[in-house]
Amino acid sequence: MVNTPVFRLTKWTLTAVVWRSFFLQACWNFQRMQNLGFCFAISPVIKALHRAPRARQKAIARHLEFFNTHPYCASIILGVVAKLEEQAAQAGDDEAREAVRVKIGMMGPLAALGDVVYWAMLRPALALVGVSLVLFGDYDQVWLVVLGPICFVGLYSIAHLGLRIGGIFLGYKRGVEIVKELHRFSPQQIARCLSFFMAVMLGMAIPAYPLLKGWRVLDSRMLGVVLMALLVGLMYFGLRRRISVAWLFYGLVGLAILAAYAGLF
Amino acid sequence: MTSQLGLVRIDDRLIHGQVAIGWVKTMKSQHLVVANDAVAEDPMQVCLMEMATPPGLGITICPVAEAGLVGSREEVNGKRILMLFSSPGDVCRAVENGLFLKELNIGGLRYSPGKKQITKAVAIDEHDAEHFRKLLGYKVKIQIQMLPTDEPVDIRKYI
Amino acid sequence: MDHIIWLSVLGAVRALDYAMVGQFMVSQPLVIGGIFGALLGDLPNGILIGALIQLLWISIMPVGAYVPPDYTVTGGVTVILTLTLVRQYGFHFGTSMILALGMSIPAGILSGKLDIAARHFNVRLDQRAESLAGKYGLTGIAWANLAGLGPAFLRNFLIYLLWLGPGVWLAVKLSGSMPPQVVKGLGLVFWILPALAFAVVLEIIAKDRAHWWIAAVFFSVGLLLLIWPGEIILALAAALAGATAVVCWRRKW
Repeated sequence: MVNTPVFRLTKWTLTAVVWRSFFLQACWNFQRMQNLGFCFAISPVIKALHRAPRARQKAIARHLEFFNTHPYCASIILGVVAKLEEQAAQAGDDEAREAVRVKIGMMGPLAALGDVVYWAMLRPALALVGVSLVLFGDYDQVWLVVLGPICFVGLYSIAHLGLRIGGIFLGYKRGVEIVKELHRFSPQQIARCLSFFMAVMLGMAIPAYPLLKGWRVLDSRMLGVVLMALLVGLMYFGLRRRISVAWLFYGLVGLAILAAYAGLF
Repeated sequence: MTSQLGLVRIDDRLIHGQVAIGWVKTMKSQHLVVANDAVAEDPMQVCLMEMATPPGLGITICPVAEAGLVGSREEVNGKRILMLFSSPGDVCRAVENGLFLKELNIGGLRYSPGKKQITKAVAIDEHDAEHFRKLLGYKVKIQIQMLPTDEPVDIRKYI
Repeated sequence: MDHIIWLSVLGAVRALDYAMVGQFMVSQPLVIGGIFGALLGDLPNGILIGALIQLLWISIMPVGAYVPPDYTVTGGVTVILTLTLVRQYGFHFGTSMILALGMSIPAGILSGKLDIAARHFNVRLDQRAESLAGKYGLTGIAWANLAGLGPAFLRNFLIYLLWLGPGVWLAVKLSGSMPPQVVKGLGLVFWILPALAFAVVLEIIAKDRAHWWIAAVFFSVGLLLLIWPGEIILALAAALAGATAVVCWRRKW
C-alpha cells in the first residue's frame, strides 16, 4: 500500500458514537437482534477509518453480524471496538478479527451485568424511592410529590448516562484492559447493596402506608397494619404461584366487589 | 457429598441476563460451570465471566472435555450446578468424554447466514441438527426454552 | 377530539423511549403520570396514578430476546382515562382509577404482542439493510435502522387512539351504570393496591434469607416509630441510618 495515512479517531467521532448509541434498539429483530443498531452506532468510526469503498463495505458487513447485549453496557463494547478498529486500520489490516472476537466475547457477560445491575436492581430501587416520596408525600405540599419522578429520573440518569458516555470514552482509552477495571469496580457488590437497600425500604413501607393513610380495622390502627401485612402475604403467595400481576389485580377487584356485596365495609 | 447437575443449557452468549436472573433464581443454582474451550484459554473472557456471575454464586470455567469431571472438584462439591455450553457440538463432545446427561435446555443459538431460524432465539444448521440427533441417541431429552416462564418445546419437532 | 390525537401522538413518542430509543426512563409510568397530569391540569394526581402503576410492574423487564407486556402503555392510558373521568365527568377518583387500570391492562398486553410482531417484521428490514449498504453505504444502514421506529410509533399511536376514543366513551358508560357496591369495591381496591405492589417488591428481594430478616426488623422499627411518636421524619431517618448500617456491615462480607 502506498502512503498509508495515519488514522486517528477524534473525540468528536466518539461523541457521535455516544449520540448514535441511543438508537441501538431502534430496529431490534429476532434474527440478528441489535446488529443494525450496533452498525448504526459504530458507523462514525467506520467512516473515519475506512475511505476505500471495499474496506468500508467489509467493515459494514462485519458489524452487521449478530449482536445483543444490554443497551447501556453496549457503550463499553462500542468504545473497545472503536479502539481495536483503529489499531487494525493503522496496521493496514481491513479484517479486524480481534475487534470481532472481543465484541462477541463481551456481549454475553456485559448483558448479564447490565440486566442484574440496571434492570433488576437500580431501576426498581430508584423507582421505589420515587414512589415512596409520592405515596407518603403530603398533598398540601405538591413539591414533595413532584420530587418523586424528578428524583427517580435524575438519579437514574446519572447512573446510566455516566456509564453510556464514560463507557465509550473509557473503553476507547483503555481498550480490552477495561475489563479488569470493571472487575475491580465489582458491580455485583453494588447490586447486592441495592437489594439490601430495597429490603429496608420495603420493611418500612409496609407499616407506614396503612398508618399514614389512617387505616382502621375495628377502630384499631394496629389491626390496620396487620390487615396490610396479611394482604401483602396473600399477594406474595399468588406471585410465587406464578400468577401474573395483571391477574392478581383483577382478582383483587373481584374480591373487593364481593366484600362490598357482603357488606363487610 | 456429590454435586447435582441442575440445568445444562446451550447458549452461545453463555452467561447473560436470562441465565443470571431467570434460570439461577428458578433452579436455585449455587454454582455456574462454563464449559468452553475458547473462554478457558482467554484471560479476558475468564475475567468477564467472573464479573458476570450473579451475587452469591461460584463459578468454574473449564475446557469442554473436562465438563464431566467438574463434579469432583472441590469448589463444586455438594452444590447445585448450572452448566453452560455454547454449541451442540460441545455438548456432544462432553458427553462422549463422560458427562452424564439426562436433560438439555437450549436457550439461544444465534443466527448466521446458512442457518435456519426455528424459534425466536434459536437458529440451527444441518451440522447442529446432526449433533442433536446424536444426543437424542444417547437418550438425552432436549428442549428449547428461553426463560423459565416460557413453554418448553421439544427439539424433535424441528429436526 | 383534537386533544385525543395530540395526546396519542405524545403517548406514542414517549413510548419509543421504553425499548427503542434512549431508555432514559421518561416513558416509565411515574414520569408520564407527571407529564400527562400536568397537561390535563392535575399534576399531583397524575403522578400518584403513575406511582401506583410503577410499583405494580416494578420488576418486569425485557431480558435479552424476551418481550414482556408494555405496562408503560398501560400507565399512560390509565392516567389519561382517570383524569378525564374525574375532571370532565366528575366521577370519584379512586374508583375511576381502578376502572381505568382494569381497562388499560389489555392495552399493555396488546402493545407487547404487537411489539413481538414488529421485531419479526424487522428481520426483513435487516435483510434489506445488506443491499442498502451495498448501494448507499453507511447512509443505507442509518435508514434501515431508523425505519424500525416507524412501526413502533404507529402501533402505540393506534393503541392510544383506540383507548382514548372509544375507551373513554366505554369508561363513562360503565362508570354511570355501576351498582353502588361495585363503586365501593373499586374504591377499596384503590386503597389496598399498594399491598400488591409491596408483594411484587418482596418477590424481587426474596432470593436471600437475610433480606427477610432485614425487612422484618425494619417492619417492627417502622411500626414502633409510627405508632408511638407518629413522626414520618423520624421513621425515614431511622430507615436511612439502618440502610447505611446494613450496607456497611454487608460490604466487607
